[in-house]
Amino acid sequence: MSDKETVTLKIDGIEVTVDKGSKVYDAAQKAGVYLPGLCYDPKLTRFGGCRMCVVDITSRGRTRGKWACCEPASNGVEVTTDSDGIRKKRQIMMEFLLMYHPLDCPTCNESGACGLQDAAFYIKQKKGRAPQKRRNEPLLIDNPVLERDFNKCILCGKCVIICDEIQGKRAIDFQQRGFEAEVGTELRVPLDCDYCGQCLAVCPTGSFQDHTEDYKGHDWEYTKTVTTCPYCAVGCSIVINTKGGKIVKVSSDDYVGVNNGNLCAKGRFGHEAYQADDRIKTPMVKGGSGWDLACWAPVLDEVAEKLKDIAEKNGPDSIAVVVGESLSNEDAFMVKKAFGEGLGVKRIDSLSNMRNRDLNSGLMTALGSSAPIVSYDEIKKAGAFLFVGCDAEKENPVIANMIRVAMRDNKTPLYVANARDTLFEPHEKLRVRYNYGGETALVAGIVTAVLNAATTDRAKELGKSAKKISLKHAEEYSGVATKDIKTLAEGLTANGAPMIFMGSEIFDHQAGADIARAVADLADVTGGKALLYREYCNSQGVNDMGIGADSPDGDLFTDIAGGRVKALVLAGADPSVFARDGKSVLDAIGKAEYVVATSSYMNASAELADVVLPSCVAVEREGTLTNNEGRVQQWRKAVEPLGDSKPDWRIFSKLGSLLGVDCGCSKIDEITSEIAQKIDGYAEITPKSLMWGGQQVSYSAESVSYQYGTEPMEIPASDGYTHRVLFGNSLYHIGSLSHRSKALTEIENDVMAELDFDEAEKNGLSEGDNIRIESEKSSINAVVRISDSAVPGIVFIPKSFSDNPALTLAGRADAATMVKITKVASE
Amino acid sequence: MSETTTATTDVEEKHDLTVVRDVVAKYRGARGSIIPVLQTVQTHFGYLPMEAVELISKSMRLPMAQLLGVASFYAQFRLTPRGKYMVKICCGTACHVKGAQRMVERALETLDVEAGETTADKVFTIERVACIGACSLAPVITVNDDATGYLDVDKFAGIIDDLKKSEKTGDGE
Ligand code: SF4
Ligand code: SF4
Ligand code: SF4
Ligand code: FES
Ligand code: FES
Repeated sequence: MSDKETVTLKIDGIEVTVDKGSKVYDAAQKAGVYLPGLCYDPKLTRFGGCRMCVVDITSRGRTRGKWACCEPASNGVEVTTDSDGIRKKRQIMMEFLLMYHPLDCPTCNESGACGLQDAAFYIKQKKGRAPQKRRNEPLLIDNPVLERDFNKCILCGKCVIICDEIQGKRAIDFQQRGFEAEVGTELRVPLDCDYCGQCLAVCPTGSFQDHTEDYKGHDWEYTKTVTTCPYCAVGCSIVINTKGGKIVKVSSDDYVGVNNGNLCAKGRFGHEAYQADDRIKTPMVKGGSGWDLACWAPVLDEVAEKLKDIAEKNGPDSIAVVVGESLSNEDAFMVKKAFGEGLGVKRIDSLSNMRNRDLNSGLMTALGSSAPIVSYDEIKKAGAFLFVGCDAEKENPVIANMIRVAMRDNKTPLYVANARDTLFEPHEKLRVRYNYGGETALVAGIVTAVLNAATTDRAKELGKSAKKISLKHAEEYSGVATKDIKTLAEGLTANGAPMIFMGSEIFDHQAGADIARAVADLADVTGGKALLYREYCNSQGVNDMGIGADSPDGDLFTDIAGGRVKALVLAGADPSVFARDGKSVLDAIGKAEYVVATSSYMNASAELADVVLPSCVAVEREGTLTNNEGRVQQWRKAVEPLGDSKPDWRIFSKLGSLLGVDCGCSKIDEITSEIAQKIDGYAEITPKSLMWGGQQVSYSAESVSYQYGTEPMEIPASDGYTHRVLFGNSLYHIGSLSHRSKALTEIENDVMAELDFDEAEKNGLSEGDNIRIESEKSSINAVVRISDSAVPGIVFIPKSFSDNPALTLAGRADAATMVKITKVASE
Repeated sequence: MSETTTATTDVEEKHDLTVVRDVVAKYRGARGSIIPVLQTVQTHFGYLPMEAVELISKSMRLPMAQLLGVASFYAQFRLTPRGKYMVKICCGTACHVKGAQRMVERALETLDVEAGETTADKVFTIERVACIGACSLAPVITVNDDATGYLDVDKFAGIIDDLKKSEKTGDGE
């Protein structure tokens, strides 16, 4: 920030310094002075013109009325934000607004949090002179999350602009004109969009309302707790609003955390999952006739005895632990300490790791550290963006928001390379489609083209001998034309350091580690940064805590089935959905001698356990988690744990003590401090340092090897199996939590399998058809989504649906998962 | 302006969208091209068929909300097919004073359409428009861009009747 120019001015006598280019409005906000403006938002570049922000600005002895939201803050000026004259002007504007805006405050859920109410009250608005004219449109509820009251819209345009500029959807716009003018979808077709609720967040009135809030209370009754979203790895800050210990809604705050108030549907509307009815509330032990409810102390004693016994008889290698990636750092650290120190267990692993160890623990840390760790701030500075196998909008939606803002502000060009056509608006500069399996060839080809052109310092230094592939082969293997490869190389180096994003398609790709190495190589020669999207809210942290670091080679579930591993601890992990070949996984778990699971909800793996221990959900506990950019942020407790549930770190520190480990007096802050002492990169992370906005980890440098294969991946021909699967995530669901949210399941409850338009037509499939997707391993039900972005022969399947878990289709060591698709009659 | 009156006889009929593809190709990537594109399409079809707008949306990557937002803002655009005779009744101040509203009501009675709508047989479209700049002739209507002034309700009804008759006897135009 220090390199930025600043200006200093006075707002109502308060001196304030702001960045050059800021508006007087921003300066007033910084000075803590309220302005009754209704259409300005510093994160948007266009605005309507409510004229309510009028102020007097005195410069060189002359005073003039100006609009604070349009006027650049300049040195030495004095701003008066309120006076009789100013108030009069505002009252006239307000009179016009209130001619049309119904005075429905008693029946409005926005009351108390309404910008219009605040403004009118602030300027002491009395009843106007002109008669009121009501529109009297009924409330429109045409989607699961956003209610519309057209009567209350003051046409400020903020929702239209945020939907366009930041969300890139423009699902709503101004329709009609004159008295009929309204903001909404064309012809009032039901809203079909990302359901991010950014429109709701910026709307100053009750024209947009949160359907999940549903008149449960007034804003002034809510207790607000800022915590970190427990869904994906972006690590957005969410504000949990509670009343009487119940969660009412989630709101956003533009001024905390990394997300500038932007949230996706999961973060904003997925809160009904937290206190859902089917939470596990008590420890449960499997008895002869099903589950018996139990008390913590005896159950933990029993678990400790049993595990000790197994370890004594069969050695520590007969015990394995799987750690969920939505657990906090403290949870993961405690699990490792309890079982590692207590019983000498080495096999403490995560499912991401087990799916792609080379990529997950090996390379991720390396990529992070060599780069050095890529901060979201880099997005603002990037000279170009390249997506490789990444669907930013769906996987890490709020990173997509950041990218879009950079494209808006800096005209950063975007290049997209994928095996399918993922969407990203506004227009990317160039989109190339590679053949699945030809990713490394393409990326290596770009490296070659960069080295050939030798326009970057690094390329000059390395010289052409660093080439991994010839352009001819790059084209042949990847299917991308040499001309396009050259364009990509040029585009990525023309405006300074580029930023390259890899998505979860790389994660479930058997050549994923090689692709990531190739991308790291490209980042190196272009002087850019590479970021691989993590999936869950603490995938990075769980990795950092050393989960998986000491695991022996070999497949866990094969070892369980073969009797080599006898006891399994599932700490917030459900391998039946999130491991490949889920069927054989369940078979294996069924064969284990002893299984203990901690979970907030019942799931297919926990059903097979001997003991199930209730863990609290994120909003009921404290802890730290590490996001995609290596930023450690906090979970803060917004509500009391449901029933007897406990945070995992507490469960495992108790268990640890029973296994003879000194777990301290088990306060969470002590664990955070112990992590700072013992975990590489976390030295600076202390409970205090996390108070505001979290802090980034500084991993010690580890060098990446830029060696990778460029030959196209062999994909074995398989009889009758017609489609190759690309696994990914849906915008609305990740992990198991989102499926407990009423709103999110109403938005999407089926596995939407994306198929190519022409191909689907040829096979007699159309949008919404029920299909069965079958591989050699299993089969799942899905619904066809015809997509312009799909490619013949490839089906994209989101993987987190526990009723139809896509990963069960995959063999654990498959080069590619092949399936066939048949239409099934809908009942 | 001489508009082609490609009277669309069947709403369900699939339109030949070549015109749309051509105009989209011409304006692709150009800023501020929504209005000329919509104009070209409307001139061709006499209105904006939904399939045409959808195609524009897809190929120019412009959201439907934006396209139809523009289309519904400007009076010149229509989303429903227009009749063979486009009857615009001026409702500007001068015409209003001279009884334009009564002509609108008469149209409603005799043709069974509201202002802005097209008769079921696709012969008439009645529209209310703002001042067309011929106040000295008030009240004024235009039929397919030919203006007639100094009207009253009966004269107006007469014009409509004549058009109806010529339509029946087949010597329309
Ligand atoms: S929910 Fe998001 S995508 Fe949908 S209209 Fe609002 S801002 Fe646009
Ligand atoms: S809905 Fe809200 S944000 Fe959108 S234009 Fe109306 S008042 Fe403004
Ligand atoms: S982008 Fe990720 S962290 Fe942010 S609100 Fe959505 S799910 Fe939560
Ligand atoms: S806030 Fe300045 S014009 Fe609306
Ligand atoms: S008011 Fe009708 S022509 Fe002017």
